[in-house]
Amino acid sequence: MDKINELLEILTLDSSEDIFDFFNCIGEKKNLTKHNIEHFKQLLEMIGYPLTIVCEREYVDKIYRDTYYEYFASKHLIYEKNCKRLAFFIGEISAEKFYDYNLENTRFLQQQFVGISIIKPVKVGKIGKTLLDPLKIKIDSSYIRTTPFDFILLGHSLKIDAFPYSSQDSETMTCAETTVWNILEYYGTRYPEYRTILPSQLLSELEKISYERILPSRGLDYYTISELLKTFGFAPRLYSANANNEDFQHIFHYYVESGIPLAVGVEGKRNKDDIKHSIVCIGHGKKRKPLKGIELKSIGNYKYIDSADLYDEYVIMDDNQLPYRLQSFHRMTQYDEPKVVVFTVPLYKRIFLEAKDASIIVKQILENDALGFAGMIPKINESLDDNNPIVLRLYLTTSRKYKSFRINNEKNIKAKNFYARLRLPRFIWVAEISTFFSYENEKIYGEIIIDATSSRMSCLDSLIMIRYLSNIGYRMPDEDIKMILGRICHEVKDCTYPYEMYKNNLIESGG
Amino acid sequence: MKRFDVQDMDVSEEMSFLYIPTSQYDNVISELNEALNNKMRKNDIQEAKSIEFAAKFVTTV
Repeated sequence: MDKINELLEILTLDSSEDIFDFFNCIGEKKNLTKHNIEHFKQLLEMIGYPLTIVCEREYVDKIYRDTYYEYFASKHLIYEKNCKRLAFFIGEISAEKFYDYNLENTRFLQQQFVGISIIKPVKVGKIGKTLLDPLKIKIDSSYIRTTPFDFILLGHSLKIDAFPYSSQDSETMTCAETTVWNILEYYGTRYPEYRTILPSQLLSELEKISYERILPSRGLDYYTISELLKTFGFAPRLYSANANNEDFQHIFHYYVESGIPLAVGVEGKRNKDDIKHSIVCIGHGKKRKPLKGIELKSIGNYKYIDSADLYDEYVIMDDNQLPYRLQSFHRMTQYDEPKVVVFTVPLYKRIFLEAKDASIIVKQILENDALGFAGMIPKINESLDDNNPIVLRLYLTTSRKYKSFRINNEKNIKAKNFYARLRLPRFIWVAEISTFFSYENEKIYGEIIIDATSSRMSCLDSLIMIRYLSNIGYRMPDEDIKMILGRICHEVKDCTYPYEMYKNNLIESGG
Repeated sequence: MKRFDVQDMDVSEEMSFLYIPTSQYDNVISELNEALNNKMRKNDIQEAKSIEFAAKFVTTV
């Protein structure tokens, strides 16, 4: 009977001083290094004290078990094949509460539930798959992309919204493979078109494209990372800083604003040695840069800024750091002289028009004498100058979510009906037009919608809709683009302005 | 049978700003397309550099 009692521990930690005792209690003394303890201490500090941890020993984590049979089982030194799963809850919760199955109690546990972390029986990369709810931990104010994860713990069904995190063991998975795994774990959980994968499946695909052995891992180049993503059903696009110059951060931001996790290659120095590291970017900070430091651009006689210029901080999942770290674009790693040099975007296979092309199309339309926004500006009831320039915001979204947002936020039923009946392609690029003051209040004055399933050589043929104030020019799939020109000059009384800025791609987190 | 429908939006018949005479439609469209074609062709040259760089950037730590 004693053996069975060891399989589950419910412990409350009152401060970081309890951590060493905690590891003793759960029988995790072997392979415990100072780095492991420090890393775990910082992780728990994100949750805050007191906190209750339910520890399931002898836990079969399919990710580690797969790696165990693929690699660790064949080594001379003995490795255990089971892990420990830790479930974190805010506050002190007694054991009796976990065995009370009335609805109110389950709701209470759900409210207090922060997430889980797998503790692997290895020295390097001890913290395995970790899912923490960003709304319940101490992180910087930011907008993040997450997806729902479900758990069964002691008979209770619990769920959180999170983004996958894991540290690397540096033998089977370095930062590169961990980056790919994190992205696939997110997509496979969220969308039926994709699947979650085991490390051995990732390595098996790598075998086919690698010119030398893949274990122990020596890292991956970004061409290979992109090729791997392609193998698992994506249509990735690569962008490097040297090829995109001043547009690089803008393009980066457009995809982040679209809620697409990016695999990001960063370089830096550690003790004067060159370091190349891979991370995942899943959101951006809330804090905006002051307008004074931003160079205003011109479209015709009007000054504007891109919303990408307002943000400098991005949320990253870096296996060398804690999850949901907010870091400057120019300091996106803990190493010296850091620089983002390349990123790959795991696009859905039917998205043919990419961010750079969408941006070009939108800006060309806005500049046009006939179709541009110059006519709308005098009708905006705000004073426009260097302190209140026009703001352009570009993002990709699904038409389903876009229409749902518009239908919910339009005040007039006829306007709701219009959006409900508007036929849009599955994916759209949307360029919102606002002023700096209205942007801060999350309101806009107009939009341009571009068909993301069109190719770059379609040029103007990718245009689906323009809305400036109460004027809406649109076309149905079987209509010529001239219908937009014909419709845009008529005011629609049921559409008021300014109206709601779209807010569906990222969730607001942090204090 | 009952059929439920919502009326179409109330669209003003007057021409407001953004009026383009129908005779100008082709000019507006071709002017925009020409400008866009030129810019898209410039992008193609840049893209090859991204792929070349990515193949050499091996992330390890």
